[in-house]
Amino acid sequence: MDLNNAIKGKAVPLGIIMIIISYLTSGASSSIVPYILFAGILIGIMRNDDMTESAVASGIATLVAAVLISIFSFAVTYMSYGAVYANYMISSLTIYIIIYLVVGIVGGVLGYFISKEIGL
Amino acid sequence: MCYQTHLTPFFTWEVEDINFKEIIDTKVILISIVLILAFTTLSTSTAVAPFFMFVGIIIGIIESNDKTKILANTTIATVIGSIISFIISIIVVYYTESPLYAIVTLQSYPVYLVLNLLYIILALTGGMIGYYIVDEIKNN
Repeated sequence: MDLNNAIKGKAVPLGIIMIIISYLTSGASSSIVPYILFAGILIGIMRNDDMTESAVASGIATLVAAVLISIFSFAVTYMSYGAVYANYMISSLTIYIIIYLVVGIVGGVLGYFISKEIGL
Repeated sequence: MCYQTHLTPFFTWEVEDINFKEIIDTKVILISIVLILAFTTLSTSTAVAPFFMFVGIIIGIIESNDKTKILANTTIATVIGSIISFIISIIVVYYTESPLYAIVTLQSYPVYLVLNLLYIILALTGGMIGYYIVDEIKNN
């Protein structure tokens, strides 16, 4: 596994763009876990040299996107509900980042096996 | 008197001869209309916008040879799909709620038009993402 090979190319930025567009258009309230799974599968199909590479690429993309999403969501909550509710939200946001990360890595591994099945 | 005008254009817009029979792919349009109808009429969730992006990605992966084909097919499929989905939703409202409510829904069609524009833009973005996905797979 080579980290430079994992984040090489357009796979990680495309995944980040997909997840952020899904978050912005789905309405801030609903869950975006299935879309993260789809984005992870697509990243795994793009980076199909090694299973750990696709998992790492998908995990990095999901982590960056989840942190951006959390910052955005925290800012919106801070502006609309105030500091107390925003502080209360931090713990749930952390749990959501972990859930997104796990789902993204699972999607990357699934995408690797799908790409092997297609024969890329 | 005769004025001789030399209208030299500032820039030339090279337009290739567009053959619509070559560009439009009926199978792809049918697949994406079925997908759009499936998630707009069968799902109970209100947030259907991200699905349009994924439909665009699917069209972009299928038609990965030509950007023009992706854009044309995505636009046609999204427009037809959203119109059919709107008609189906009016019929469902007519029979489940009341005819008056269906008329109110019809009168709010401009709102749905603006939403449909958003969906079309999303699907086009998804098509371009799908094109670059296939580009990345080929370069790998």
